Amino acid sequence: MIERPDPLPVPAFPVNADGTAAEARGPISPDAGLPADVAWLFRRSLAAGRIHPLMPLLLRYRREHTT
Amino acid sequence: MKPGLNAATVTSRVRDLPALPAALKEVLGALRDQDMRTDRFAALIERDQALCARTLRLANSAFYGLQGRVGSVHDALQLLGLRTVGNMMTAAALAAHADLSRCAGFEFRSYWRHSVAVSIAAREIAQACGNDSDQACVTGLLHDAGKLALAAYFPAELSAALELSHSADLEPVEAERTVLCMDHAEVGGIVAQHWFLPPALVFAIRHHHAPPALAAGCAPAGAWLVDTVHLADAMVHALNIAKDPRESVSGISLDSWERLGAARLDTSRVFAAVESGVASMAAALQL
Repeated sequence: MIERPDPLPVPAFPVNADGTAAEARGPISPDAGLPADVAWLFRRSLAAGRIHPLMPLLLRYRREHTT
Repeated sequence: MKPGLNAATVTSRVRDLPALPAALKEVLGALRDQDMRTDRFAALIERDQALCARTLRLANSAFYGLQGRVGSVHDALQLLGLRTVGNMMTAAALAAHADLSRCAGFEFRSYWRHSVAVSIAAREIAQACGNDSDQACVTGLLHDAGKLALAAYFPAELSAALELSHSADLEPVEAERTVLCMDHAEVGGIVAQHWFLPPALVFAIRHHHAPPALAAGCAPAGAWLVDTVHLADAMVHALNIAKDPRESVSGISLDSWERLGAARLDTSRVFAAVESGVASMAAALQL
């Protein structure tokens, strides 16, 4: 079984604060606001350096539904 | 490693699948009749106590907001729609016939909840895109039928694939292809064909992990269905309803994304519908 790393290293992935995908300009800082559980779900896309279309949408949904 | 499966092996095993119960067979046959009236269909369901109870339970679930107020199969059918009921019955029949106890690592409850969640997401996406939401709902519920068939008829092979998926952090379909030389989508297509499900549904089940890579104008007529289930499946994985620490979201076909016009889709609405609907549906279906 794969052990889930904790904390997950935040990969190089550009996401705006509102959850929308930013244009790729290079690695982002670890404090870019990408929740570890969301990053974990999309780890395969992130490892491949790709923006999964659902990732910013899930981030936005989570923010809308977390008070 | 065990030798892989192939279409001939799976097809021969699938041919051995037990016949559907007579009552269910009759109900499913009636669903193909375009002129079937609700009262005639209700009469067919009422002949079988289990089908009758399941239909009423579903109609009275919190999902539809009419708890305790749907007292007849006729009213339930008007609320749910004929195809939704047929869909539930087909899926339930597949599960009822499967001996799943021999497949280590296969969790039937998780399988069911995922299927229900995908059916809800598919319905929402289809509605938003102006497509047939009933058909999307049906296909969502049955999209992983091949997984159930593998668990029942090739338990050691599926178990090995699940183990490989966990140990190597592979997507389940990749692990299945490695161990079985086939994946559950291909097997599901064979099962769906064996049961004479409509061709569009067979196609969607068969290709839900890899929709055709064709532009909107060149895609087959039923491409919207496979695109819808493909996206719904990924959205449900993204929600990680089961809180599975191994969960991950598989890639999405950009062709599907563009054919559906998913950039304009209110995905928050779909996510919310799945989260609110899956619990009440699962309770109604006793999952």
